[in-house]
Amino acid sequence: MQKALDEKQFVVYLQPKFSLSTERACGAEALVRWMHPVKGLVSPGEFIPVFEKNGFISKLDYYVWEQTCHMLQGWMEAGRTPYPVSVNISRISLYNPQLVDLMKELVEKYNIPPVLLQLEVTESAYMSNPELMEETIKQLHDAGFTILMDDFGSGYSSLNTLKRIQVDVLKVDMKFLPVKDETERGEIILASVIKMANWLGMSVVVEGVETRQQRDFLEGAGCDCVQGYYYARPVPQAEYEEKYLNAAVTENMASIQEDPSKDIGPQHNMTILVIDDSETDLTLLKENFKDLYHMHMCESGEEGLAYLKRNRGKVRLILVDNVMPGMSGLEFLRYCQQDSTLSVIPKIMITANDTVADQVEAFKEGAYDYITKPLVMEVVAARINHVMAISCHTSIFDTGGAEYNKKANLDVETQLFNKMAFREFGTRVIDSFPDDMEALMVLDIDNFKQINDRYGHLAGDTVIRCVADELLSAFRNTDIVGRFGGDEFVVLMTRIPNMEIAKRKAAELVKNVLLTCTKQLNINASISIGLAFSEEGDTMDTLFARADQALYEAKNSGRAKVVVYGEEVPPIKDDDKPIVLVCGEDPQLYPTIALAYGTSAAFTSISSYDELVKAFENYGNRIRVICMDTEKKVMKDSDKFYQYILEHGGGTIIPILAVYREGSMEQLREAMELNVFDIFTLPPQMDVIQRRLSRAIMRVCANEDE
Amino acid sequence: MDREKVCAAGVDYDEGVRRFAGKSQIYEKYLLKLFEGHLMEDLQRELEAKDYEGAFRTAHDLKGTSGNLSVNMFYNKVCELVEILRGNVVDGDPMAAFNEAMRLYELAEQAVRE
Repeated sequence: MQKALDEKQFVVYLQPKFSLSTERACGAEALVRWMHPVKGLVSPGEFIPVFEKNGFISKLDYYVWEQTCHMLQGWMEAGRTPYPVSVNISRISLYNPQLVDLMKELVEKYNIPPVLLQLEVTESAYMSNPELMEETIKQLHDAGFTILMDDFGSGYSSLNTLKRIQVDVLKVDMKFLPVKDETERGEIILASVIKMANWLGMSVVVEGVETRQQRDFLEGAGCDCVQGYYYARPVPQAEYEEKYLNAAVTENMASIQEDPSKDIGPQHNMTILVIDDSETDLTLLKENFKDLYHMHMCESGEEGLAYLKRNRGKVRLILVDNVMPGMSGLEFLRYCQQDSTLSVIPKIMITANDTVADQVEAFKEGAYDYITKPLVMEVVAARINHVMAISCHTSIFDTGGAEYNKKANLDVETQLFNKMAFREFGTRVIDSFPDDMEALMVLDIDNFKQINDRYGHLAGDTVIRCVADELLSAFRNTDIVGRFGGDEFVVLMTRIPNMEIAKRKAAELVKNVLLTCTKQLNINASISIGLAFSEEGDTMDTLFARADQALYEAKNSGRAKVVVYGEEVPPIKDDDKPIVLVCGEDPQLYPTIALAYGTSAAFTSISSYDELVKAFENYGNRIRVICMDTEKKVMKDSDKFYQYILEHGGGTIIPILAVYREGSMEQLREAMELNVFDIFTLPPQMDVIQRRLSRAIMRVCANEDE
Repeated sequence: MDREKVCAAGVDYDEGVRRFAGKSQIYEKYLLKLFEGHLMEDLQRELEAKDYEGAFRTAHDLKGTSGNLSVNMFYNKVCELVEILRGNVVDGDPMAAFNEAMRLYELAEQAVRE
């Protein structure tokens, strides 16, 4: 623990308090979070009780106070007049006879007016030794500190307490207003408390405000300041500064233009949606995670979908039970897959320790992970924290949260991560979760330069956007998608349960891009993908190198395909191969050319007019190139031959490669008339044939539709 | 609730409280709720009517809830019953398993309600 403190694993987050009259932040509460290097984010509910027992809490308290003073000092030196920040004083610290001196020293050391460092004490701390507390609090008050009474009403004799100690602000929890039954009674009690506090000259802060209705009720009851997820969750210092730290509150309230009737909704995206018909399950999950995240509970898939309709941008993770009356968990997953705004939200399926088949089905329907019942909380916490940690980097749907984060990390045209950000986040993921299997895809657009040359750069840009859109809709918020510049893209799929998922995704991607480009853009564009899976000891670089190598192999074996590193490169199906007609009577011609080029194209030998006609009938549009022997003397019906070829697109749609034997001017002139694409002379050199044929085959023709 | 008695009746009280983030009041509340339900009655009815598909679903429900509440002896018996009924193929004696489960259920109920 001391080590954790020294290593600054404890981080101070700030939860803003909002003024109902101005709808602006008017202060904040400092809350401590533990970023454990192994366990991830640990809830205060877990470690605070432990620290209270062993006394470490007082050291933690002091650390938080000092950090807060440091923050306040920083803001003041930067010329801002900050809102006050309140810190918690634990029971044990309250008993420390030197507390008052410690506090005075702190504000003196950091040169901040005491009124900026508000002190929160809990009622229960007071109860154990009232006289001592009264004295301590009086001294703190005299020293200029503002005292807040936290959890008012949760202890024993609250009214008595109020009578005896000088408290400036009461903090009441919304628990007085339960969501379901007994709202009327709760409302009366809460309203009375607020009124009473106001009469006694105290102000009231209500905590745990989560809905518009609650906010409105409180305003009517005379409460001015609230804290809760309806406005803001606890955020790190940088975010607080960016979003909430304005200039000092002006006296002129009329200058505030804000329309208070505008429905704000939760201002954050730390919501976990839990869908389960069992009240026990819902309570279990809520109790264990409500300190860390905003938990929204629903009892059915239908209810969940209704909530998502209004709040999809705020929900970062969905936990859904499998077996439910009405819409089942699998049906819910399936529904979400159809909707591209819902399919990106990671979902974890809760299954009751069922067969492997059920789990596989869950993955097939888009589940990111699963947890089994009976719930083992350590496992659940690990899974949830993992998703929340990862998806905060890929905040594609994050509207309010990390805006300031986004600009430097994104590629301007596609809004995908740029190379640097991708590498940084990717490295972080790979290093943080060494036991996970990840998949890295490196992909680029086939023949991109030719597309630009042929169709123009605007068309090229359209293809890039098409690919980017496909990528964004194909992958989850927990995957990292980036553009490395030009036409190169990279995707890191985090924590995959098996390789098939990644392979399938990649194959779908190739297919979809091809379809979209040819059908919607009328451009024959395709992508090739190199796919590699992470191994033990991998770094971002080693994984990338393997995927890159696989991509190279995909390019070399026909393109428009996926090659997985370490696996056999799938041979091109005959049906997909481009067809090259080799026309000429010389029996040497065909084998020479076919052998020189290799098996990625299908060669057909044509030595008569009839054969030519038949070839066009059989293959039609699949004929990509015609190699033609220009030795007219060698072929009978050669004029008819040429005529037919020219009529069927030779020269314009189908490139013609003319073959010469130490040509004469006569032949060359003929070649010009034939409008040939390229020539080569016999005897051929292998690489010349390869190069020229490749160029001809890959040439993207304007009229080539399907 | 008497922790000793509850443990003796096949409930792992400490495990249950831990699962509920250390909040014993909430744990006890939901433990009692388990016995206020009527899943066991439903299960009995379905088994007697030989509605094995329905019985499977009910047993599955019971399994999930009792597992989360650490009513472990009962839970284990329900797991057995679930396996017997899985896939609508009755592979064993469901009534025998049910009766034993009922016995453990009532044993736990008694201890919890005291």
